[in-house]
Amino acid sequence: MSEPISVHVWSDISCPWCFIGKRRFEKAVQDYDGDVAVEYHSYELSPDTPIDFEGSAADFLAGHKGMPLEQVDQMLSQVKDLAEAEGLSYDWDNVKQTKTLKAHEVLHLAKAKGLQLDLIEKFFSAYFEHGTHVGHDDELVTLAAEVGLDADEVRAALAAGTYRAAVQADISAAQQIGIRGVPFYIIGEKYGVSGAQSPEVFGEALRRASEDLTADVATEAVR
Amino acid sequence: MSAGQAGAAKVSVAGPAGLSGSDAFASLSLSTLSGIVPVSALEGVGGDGAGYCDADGICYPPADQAAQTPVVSTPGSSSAESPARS
Repeated sequence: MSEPISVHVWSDISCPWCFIGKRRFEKAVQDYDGDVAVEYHSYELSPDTPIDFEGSAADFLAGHKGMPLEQVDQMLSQVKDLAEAEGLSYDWDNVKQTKTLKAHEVLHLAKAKGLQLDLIEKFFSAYFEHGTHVGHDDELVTLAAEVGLDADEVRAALAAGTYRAAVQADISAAQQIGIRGVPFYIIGEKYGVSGAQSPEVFGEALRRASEDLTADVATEAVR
Repeated sequence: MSAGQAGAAKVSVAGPAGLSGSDAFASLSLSTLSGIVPVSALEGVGGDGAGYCDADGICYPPADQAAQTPVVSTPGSSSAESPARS
């Protein structure tokens, strides 16, 4: 197998389908006979979320977003069950709803250090499974240090807003490209996959992208 | 994908490893994205029946599995435009 398939993913830490989609994509990669190069991009759900929202995820959706509580409970229960099927233990009662912009800044720092995939896994798990607040510098620094980032560097980058522009560039790019929901995957710069699709769907997209690469290589060889 | 997760050996980070600085990164990031075509021009795989969250923070469950989801569709006809499916 020659060069890896490029995979661009737009997601947010607070997006329950993004963590589920991550697991399903990983299953597809496991079954795929080739390499992939994954790059996550920032997308901010509900930018009006306060850093310190007082209440549960259900309170947020019912109160802050005006959704009927019965519908919220049904939705959260369904998502929890589907997450469980992927080996994830969502703990809705302890999720700390927060603004995720700072978490995205740290993810960009991690990308610059080659640790983005480790950190996004850490952030998702901290947010959905362990009730960690991912909107405060202290918690973000702790989580980042656990995957190998330098704590002082993370704290300094957050204080200076070093990666704020990079986060906004990702969000702007999503708007310009036409992405209106996450997770959203662009595979092989040609195939779009919207939402937390099944491993089979991700596998199909990888297979097609791989065939395209093979065809391109063959064409080059003929020239 | 973190080490120990499925496919870790086959997955690399596509970002600019080893670089730092907002300007350098921002330009590289935009450069990386410049080759990506608009969603409407992408070839959709999997249809729009999967769970997702929209920009307002509202998340939607998968569409009714009884409705046959096409294997190929255009993501440009975004699921985000659909009414709540829960």
